[in-house]
Amino acid sequence: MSTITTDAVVAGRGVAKRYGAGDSAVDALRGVDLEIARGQFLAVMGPSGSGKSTLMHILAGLDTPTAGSVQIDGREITTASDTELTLIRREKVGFIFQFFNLLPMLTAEENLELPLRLAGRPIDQAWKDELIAAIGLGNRLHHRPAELSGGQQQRVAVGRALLTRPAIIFGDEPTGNLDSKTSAEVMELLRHAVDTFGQTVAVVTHDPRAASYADRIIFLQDGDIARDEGRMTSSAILDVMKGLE
Amino acid sequence: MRHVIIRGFLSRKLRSSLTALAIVLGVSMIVGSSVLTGQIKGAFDGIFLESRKTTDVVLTQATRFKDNQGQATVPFAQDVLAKVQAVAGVQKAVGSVTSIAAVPIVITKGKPEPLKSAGGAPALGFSLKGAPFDTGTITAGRAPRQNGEVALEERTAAKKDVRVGAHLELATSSGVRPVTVVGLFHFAATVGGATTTIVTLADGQAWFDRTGKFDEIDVQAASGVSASELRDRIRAALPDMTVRTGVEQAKQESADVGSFVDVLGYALLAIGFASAFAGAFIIFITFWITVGQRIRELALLRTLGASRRQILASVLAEALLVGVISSAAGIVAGLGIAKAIAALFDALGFGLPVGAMHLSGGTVVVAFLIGTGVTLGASLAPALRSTRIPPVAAIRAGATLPPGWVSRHAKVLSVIVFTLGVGLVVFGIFGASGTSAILSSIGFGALVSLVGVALTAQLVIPRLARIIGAPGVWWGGIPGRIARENAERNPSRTAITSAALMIGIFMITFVAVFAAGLQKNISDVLGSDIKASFFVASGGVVGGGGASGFSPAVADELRVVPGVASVSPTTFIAAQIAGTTTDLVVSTAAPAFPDAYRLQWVSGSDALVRGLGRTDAIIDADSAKSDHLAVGSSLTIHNRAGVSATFTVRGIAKTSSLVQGLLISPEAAVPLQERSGVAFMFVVTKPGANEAAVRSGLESAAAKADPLLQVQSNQDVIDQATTQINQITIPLYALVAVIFLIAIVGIVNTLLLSVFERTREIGLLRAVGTTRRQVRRMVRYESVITSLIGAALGVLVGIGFGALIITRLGDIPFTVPVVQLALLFIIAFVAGVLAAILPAHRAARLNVLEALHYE
Repeated sequence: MSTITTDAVVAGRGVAKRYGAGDSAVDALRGVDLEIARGQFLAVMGPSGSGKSTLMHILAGLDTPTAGSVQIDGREITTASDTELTLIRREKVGFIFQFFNLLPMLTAEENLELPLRLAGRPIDQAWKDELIAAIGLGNRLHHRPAELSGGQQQRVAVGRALLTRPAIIFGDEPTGNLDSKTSAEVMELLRHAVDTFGQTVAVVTHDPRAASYADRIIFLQDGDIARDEGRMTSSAILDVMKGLE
Repeated sequence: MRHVIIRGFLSRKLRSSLTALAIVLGVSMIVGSSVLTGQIKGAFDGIFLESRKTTDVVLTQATRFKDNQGQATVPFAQDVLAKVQAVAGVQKAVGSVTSIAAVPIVITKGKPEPLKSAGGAPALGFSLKGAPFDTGTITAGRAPRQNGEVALEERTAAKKDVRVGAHLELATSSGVRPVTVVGLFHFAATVGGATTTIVTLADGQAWFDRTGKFDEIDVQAASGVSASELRDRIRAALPDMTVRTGVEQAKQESADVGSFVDVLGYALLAIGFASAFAGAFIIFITFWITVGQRIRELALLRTLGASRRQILASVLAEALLVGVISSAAGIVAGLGIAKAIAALFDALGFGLPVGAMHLSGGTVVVAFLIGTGVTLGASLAPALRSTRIPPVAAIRAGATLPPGWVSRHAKVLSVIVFTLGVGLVVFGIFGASGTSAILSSIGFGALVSLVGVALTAQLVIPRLARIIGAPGVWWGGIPGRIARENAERNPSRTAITSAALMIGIFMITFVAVFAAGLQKNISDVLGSDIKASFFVASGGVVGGGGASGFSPAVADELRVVPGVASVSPTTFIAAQIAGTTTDLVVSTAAPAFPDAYRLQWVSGSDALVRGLGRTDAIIDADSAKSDHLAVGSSLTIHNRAGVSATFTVRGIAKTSSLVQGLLISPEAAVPLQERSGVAFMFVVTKPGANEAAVRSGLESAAAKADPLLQVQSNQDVIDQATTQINQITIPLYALVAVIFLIAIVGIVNTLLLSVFERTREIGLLRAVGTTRRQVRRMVRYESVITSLIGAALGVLVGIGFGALIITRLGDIPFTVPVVQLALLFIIAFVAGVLAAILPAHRAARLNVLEALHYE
């Protein structure tokens, strides 16, 4: 089914994004090639304005590139219709955002189940129980988001992303709004998902400690990949970042 | 997804219930008017069936056409009775007479006090029919047997504590006579405030102007003969009469009244629909703003795999929920509205009989269809807009929606809609033929135009806000300025929010322009055409006048009052030109008529009137033109009973209020008159006479002749007409107040949403030193600007439509009722202040720090 040789879940080729036109045009991305392998935990880093968020939005199908192609699990998404994209999001992609991950009027459990309910798919009760144990929410399942701490809310978001067993989970600064302790809890949870369930994860972050949980770290600068590294310590990451700025 | 919809609905409780309230009010008006109409009709059905339950067959004079003055029956010669009695199968037949102006008068301490309701309910007089036809039960004393004896309906008697043995007077169109109350009776079927008096047949014929005549004959069938069989036999014997069974007669009588009830029902229903229409604007703007505020939430749903269809369905499902719940609540509230309207009419003096409350299945279905239909329809555009929210909006803070095709072309579209609406109205007024085509194109056109105005208004809102907001800026400083900026920065939102108020103000302005025109018409006529100093009429010229009538002999009493130059009685006869269905008003002109009334001659002179012969007639210019008549033409007319007379046109006068048809001599009118009473008399005073002295002379002469007579100057007639116009318009205004309520709800809702949207802004204002009071003032100014914009638009559209339709009708002049309109602006101002209370409180209560951190 895959049209590429490696076992890539997401494959971007020559992804470019230009805002505006003429003299005032800004190139956010200048032809990025990137493949994310199955079971990989990828962190995308880079200074502000390097294009890391734009890249993630395009790889996730939330935004369209000006040039290039993107495939998720072998399916081209840059030319897909809105309905096709909706189906791809339902089946292949999970999201974790920095803010506003949960609907305020639903309980934690209802938020957790929301994507499956939207898709009208059955809930695998054993898998759900295993996830609830993993995110460690215990007796707070019937609470509304306003009654949960930031870390708890974010763990529900991770659980929700995992519940559909997506091909890939995208995280957009998933720890951006958390303190260092709860950041570590969320990253450990993602690490656990990769190690135990073989989940593919890609996060955009500017926090070296968060990035240190990843198997692979790419550094973006001026809309292109400056470095593509394996696992690194947070201090090593910090050094690379300093070099880029 | 169901969770999301229901929980979302519940989490927006205040907004949802305010939105629902707009629909609840509209639906309840529609249900209330239909329930009340049903109740009144049911009551009339009951009353008439009850009164005919012991009568098998009823005979009345067949009429050639219907009179719009309200006189139902035409008297016929009493020798018909013998012919009826001769028909096989008739057990018993009795003739009877009726009067709609038989007023019992109680003399207390020498002062006559009529037993008559103030609201204009009729004072009925009946002749005794005898068993089995009388349906009243004597509760005290006995039935009248001899000349001068009467029985009073007990509630009529109770008004002035009249008991058996009391000596009263009875005023009828033929004069006033002393009577003795010999009995009280209970009439299960007494209508509203009507008074009822029963007299002997002989007295009735003499007093009710029915000598040798009957109004109806009631027949009892012999045993073994069915009512319908007997009806057919009598019909065969008397083909010129209208013959019905008792039940048929009751149904006919009920239907005659029913058409009046229908008019009332339509007026109420129109207000109900207008309320629902106003509610539609509120729903539209609420959903529109809410979708804007829920962008991130809806975008998050999209990233989690919700399809566009699911988003669309979620918004529409919420609308459906609001629609269904508020329709149900509206139906319940409608029962209360029915009671409230009945109480309102009661309080204003025209009590209507109200039967058992009955909610028909049809009403429920219509209420649900309208309530949910309006809600769904109004939320369709916001729902479609919600599907355009891109998933990426979940990540980007402060994401706004790109304008859709409709928004981008809003200006052009709104102008097209407005032009279309006005075009429809103009077509309805000038082009359409047939009443239903005219009314439907005017009605639908008005609807479309109002939508058009609401949409087009956004183009002028900045300018309007600048003008209306100027005093606020001058008075309120910076908060006033910010309020004005807020009102202008989202012109379409302000325009649509003010639209509900615009609809209410439009309706009131429209009615007020008509009322002012009618009033102006009366004062114009009295100012220019009337030369007489006084009018004399039973209950006043416009207070019953034509229908009640009074004895022509009164003229002799008035002529001898010192200072009186001439008295000219005027009578109106409903007639048709023979061989056509053209209604023609025939009025009498006494020789002194030209002294009292200014005739503008097209052909002829005042001398013609003074010497008008028995076959001479003067016709008005408009009728002459439409009926192709000229001086020298001959025309034959007939009255309702078919009595005809032929006249020769001698002169043509310009059409005016008293010259709208034929003018004939009083002698020529006698055979055509259904009754001998006159409508009113003009009194012309001698030059140099002391008017006040003449007036008091006239008053005492009139009072002696008939205590119901009133002497009125021009101004008195104008005042009386004004009072009457107000009697109709004030309840209408009171009902339109429901739309004001909806409008206030709408402004509250929009302001609440705006305050919520501007949380950060308000936090910033507070942080830089704006006081709570100033924040409240800011919200209040914005509210008042919005409501005044609604008032300005409503008044403009109302005047425009009023002018169009008045021009088309051509009967009444167009005037702008300045005082009422100024009052409307004050009401709108108050509505704005009231609507601001809750949102201003919310805005002032915001915690500065939290508001600044608000995301």
